[in-house]
Amino acid sequence: MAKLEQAIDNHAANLDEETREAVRLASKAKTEKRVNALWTDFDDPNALRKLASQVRQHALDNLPDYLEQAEAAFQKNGVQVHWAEDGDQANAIVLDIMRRRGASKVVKSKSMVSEETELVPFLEKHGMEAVETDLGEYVVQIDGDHPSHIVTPIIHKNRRQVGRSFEREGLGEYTEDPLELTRMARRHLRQKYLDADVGMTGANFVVAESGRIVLVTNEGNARFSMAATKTHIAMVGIEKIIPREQDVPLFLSLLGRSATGQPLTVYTQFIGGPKSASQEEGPEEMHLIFLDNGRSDILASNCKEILRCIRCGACMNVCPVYRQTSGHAYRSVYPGPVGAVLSPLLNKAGFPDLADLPKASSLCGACQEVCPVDIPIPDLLLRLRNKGKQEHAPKTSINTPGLSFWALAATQPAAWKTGLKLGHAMNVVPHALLDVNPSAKSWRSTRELPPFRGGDFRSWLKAHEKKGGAS
Amino acid sequence: MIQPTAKGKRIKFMMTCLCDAFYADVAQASYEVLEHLGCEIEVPAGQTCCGQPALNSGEWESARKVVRHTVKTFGGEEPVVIPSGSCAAMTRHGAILGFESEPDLDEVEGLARRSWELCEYIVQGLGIDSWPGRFDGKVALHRSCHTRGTKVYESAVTLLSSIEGLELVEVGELEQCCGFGGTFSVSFPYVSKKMGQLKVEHLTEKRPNYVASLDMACMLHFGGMMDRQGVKTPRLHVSQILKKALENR
Amino acid sequence: MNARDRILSKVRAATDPLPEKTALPDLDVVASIGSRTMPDAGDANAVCATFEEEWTKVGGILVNDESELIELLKSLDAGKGYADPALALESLKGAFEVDDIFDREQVDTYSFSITRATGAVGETGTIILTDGDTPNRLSALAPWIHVAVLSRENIEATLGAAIPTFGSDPSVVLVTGPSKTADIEGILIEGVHGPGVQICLLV
Repeated sequence: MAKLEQAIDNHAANLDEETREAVRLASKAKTEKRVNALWTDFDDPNALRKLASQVRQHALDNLPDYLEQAEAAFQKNGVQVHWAEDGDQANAIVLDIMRRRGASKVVKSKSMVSEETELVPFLEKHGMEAVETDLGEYVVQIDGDHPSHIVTPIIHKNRRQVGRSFEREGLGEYTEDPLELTRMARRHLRQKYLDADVGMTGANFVVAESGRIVLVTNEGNARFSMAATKTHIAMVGIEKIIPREQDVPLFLSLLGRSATGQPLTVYTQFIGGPKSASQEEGPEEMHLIFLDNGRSDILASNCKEILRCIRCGACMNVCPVYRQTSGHAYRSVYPGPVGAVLSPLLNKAGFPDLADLPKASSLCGACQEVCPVDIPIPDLLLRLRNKGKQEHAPKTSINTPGLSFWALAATQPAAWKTGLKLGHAMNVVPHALLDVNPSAKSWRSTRELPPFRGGDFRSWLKAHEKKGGAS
Repeated sequence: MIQPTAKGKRIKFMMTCLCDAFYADVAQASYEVLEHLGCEIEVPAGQTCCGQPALNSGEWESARKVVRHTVKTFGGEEPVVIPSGSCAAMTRHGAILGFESEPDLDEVEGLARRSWELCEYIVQGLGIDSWPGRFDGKVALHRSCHTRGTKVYESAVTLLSSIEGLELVEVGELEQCCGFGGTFSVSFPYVSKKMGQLKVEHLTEKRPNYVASLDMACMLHFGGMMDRQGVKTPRLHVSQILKKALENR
Repeated sequence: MNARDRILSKVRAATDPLPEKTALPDLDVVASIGSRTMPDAGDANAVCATFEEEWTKVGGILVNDESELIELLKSLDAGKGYADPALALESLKGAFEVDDIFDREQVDTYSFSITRATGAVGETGTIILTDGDTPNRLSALAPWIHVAVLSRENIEATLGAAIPTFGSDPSVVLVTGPSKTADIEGILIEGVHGPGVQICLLV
C-alpha cells in the first residue's frame, strides 16, 4: 500500500472494520428507505426536488427582504430577535439572555448551528448546565465526542459502547438492550427538562410570512424543551428562510422522506412566540438569534447553492466515500458531500486547513441525485478544487499528479501522438520500475494496468480506410 | 446537463484518450457499429483528450486550453459520437462549468449540443430501439456515474435487452461508484480500493458471463482490480457486444 | 452599524448584483403537491377513512367511543390519569382516578392523559395539538399514554389545508404517531421523551 497522505483516506484506513461496516450498512439502509418512500408516494419525486430547489433559491436570491420581513413578523408575534455575525456573538447573546433571566440550566435540542458555535462548552465554561436531549447527541455529550452524522449523530457507535457510557454516568446498570438504554435516557433526561430554565433549539425552517419557526424531531425532545421551561431560545442560520407558510408542506414531505424515509417526522412544531396567556406551561419569552457565521460570504461566492441545504443527510447516506470513512474524517460539524462544500467555506480563514475535503470525492454525482433541493454538489466541489489551486492551498494537491505537462501535450496533436508512441515502452518496462512515479505506484497498489496500445486504433483506421471502409 | 440535439448520420467520432492509449479494440468496435448503421464517419486526427482530468483536479486554466483544442478539432455542425458517458458528460456539462465566465462559452455550448454518447446516439438520436444478431450469455451492465441525468444507461439497456440470447442480470447498488474518479483513485487509494471491491462484488454477484461498461474509465479501475484479484469474468464495452451480435446474424 | 445592519448590508451586497433572481413558484403549483395517500378533499368520508388508515400505519391507535377507550386503557394497565375537564368524560372518571389539573410536581404519577386535538391531517395520519386547546403542554407530552380527542369534522385532507386553521396559535404541534428514535444502531424504539402509546378517540 502506498503511503496514505490524504487525511480522509488515512482516517478511513484506520477505522476499525466493525465501525466501518456499521456505518456503511446503516447508510445503505437509509438510502433504500428514502428511495422507497419517495417513489412509493409520488409519481415524479424529481419534480418535487426541482420545485423545492426553486423555492429555496428564490428565498436566497431575495434574502435581505425576507430577513426583514421575518424579523417584523416575529416581533409582531412577541419574539425578541437578535443578530449575530459569528459564533462568539451568538453564544454571548445566549449567555446574556440566561443571566438576565436568572437562568442556570438549559436543555438543548439537536441543532447543527449550535455545534458550529460550540455553544455547550461555552455555556459550561460560564458555569451554566447545558444538557443535550436528543438521545444520540446526549451520548455524544457524555462521551466528549462529536456527532458523525447530522441526523443520526452516533452512527459510529454500537449499543455496547452506549451501555458502558450510561453505566459510567450512573444512569443505571450496564445493559446493551437498546430498549432499556432508551428508557434509562428517558428517566434521566425527564428530570433535566423539569429542572431547566431555558429550552434551546435550532429551526428546520423559518417562515418569513408568518414569523414562525418549524421544528421537527422524532423523539419529542424539542417539544419537551418548550413545555417544561420558561424561556425559549432558537438559534438559526440566516439562510433557513422559507417565504410562505404554504411552502412548508412541500419541504416537510421531502425532509422526512429524504432523512429517514418518513412521510412526516413524528413531531412537527410550528412555533411563533411565547406561550399563550391561558397556557399553564411553556416559555414566557421567546428569543430568535439569526446567525451569519460566514453565510453572507458564501451567498456572495460561486458556491451559494449550498445554502439551499435543508440538512436531511441523504447525501452522506448515499456517498460511497462517507460510507467508508464515517463522519469524523471530515474534521468539521458537517460531514459528507454537503460538509465537503460547506465546512471549508463556513470559516474563511480556515479554508486552507479543509481544502482537502472537496478532493474526497470521486465526483460520482450520487449526492446531487438524492438532494431534496437539487444542489449541484459535484459542481461546487469542482469550484472549490479550482479555488484551492488558485489560492495555492497545499491540501488541494496532496497525492495528485500535476497536469500542466499533460495539458501541454493535449493541446498539441504532434506531441500527443509522440507520447502515444513512447507510451509503448511501458509494456516492456518491468512494472516495479514504474513505481518510481508515486501515482503509478498508488494505482498499482491494488490494481493492474492494461497493456498500453497507444495509437493502435489510429493505425487500424488508416489501414481500414485504405481498404475502402466496411466491406 | 445539456441534452444533445444535433441529428444525422454524418458524424465526427471522438475515440477518447483512454481508447487512444489502451483500448484500441473498443474504439474499433464503436467505429464498426457506427459504420454498420450507415454513418459517414470522420475521425479528426488532431483529437487528444476532452480535458476532464485537469478540470477535476481544479486546474481549470489547463482544462480550458484542452477544451478549446477539442472544440476546434471537432468544429462543424455534425453530431459528435463518443463511446464514453464520462467524456460526453465533460463536453456537455463539465466544460461549460469551466467556461462560465469566459467569452467563448457559446462555442463550448455548441459542442455540448452536438455531443452524444454512443448508445444514446443510436437510440435517442437515430431512433433505433432493437439490435440485430445474437449474443449468448448473461451480462452485468455497470451504470457509470457520469451517465446520471442522461438517457445513456437506459439506451444501453434498450439495445442490450433486445439482443437475442443476451440476458441482463441484476446489479446491486447500481447508484454506487466504482471508486475511479480519475486522480481520486491515486490520491485516495484506500477509499478507492474499498469502493472498487464492493463494485466487483456487485457486478459478479449473479455470476454473469460478461461484465459490460459504458465507460472504459470505470473499467480501467474495476477491471484492473478484477485482474489483481484473479476474477476471470471477461469484460466488454457495450460497443463490443453490439459488434459481436452483428457478427452472429 | 450594529450586527443586524452589518449582516443585512453584506447579504444585500451579495444579492443586489444578481443579474436575475429565481422566481417564486406559484402557490397553486407548490400546494398541488400531493402524495398517493392524499384523499379527495371534497369527500369527508374519504378524508376520515384516510386519516384512520394512515394514523394506524404510523403506530397510532384508534378508538371510536369512550367505553372502547376505557377497555383499552384497562388492557394497558393504566392507573391514575389526567383529563382536560372541558372534555367531560364522565364514565371514564368512574373507571379510573382522573385529575382535572395536571401537577408538574407529580409528572410521573400520571399513566395517561386525555386532551383535545384541534384537528388532524388525513394524508399523513397526523393529529394537531395547539396551545389554545391544550390547557397544559406537559400533560399532552409527559405521560406514557396520550389520548387525543378528535372531532371527525376537524380532519383536513392535507397539511396545506390545515395550516389556515392554525390562526395565531403560538405553538402548533403535529403529532404523527408515538415518540420514537433509531439512534442506537438504527433500531426503532418507541417512547423516548414523549408518549410511547398514542391514542386517538374519534368523536
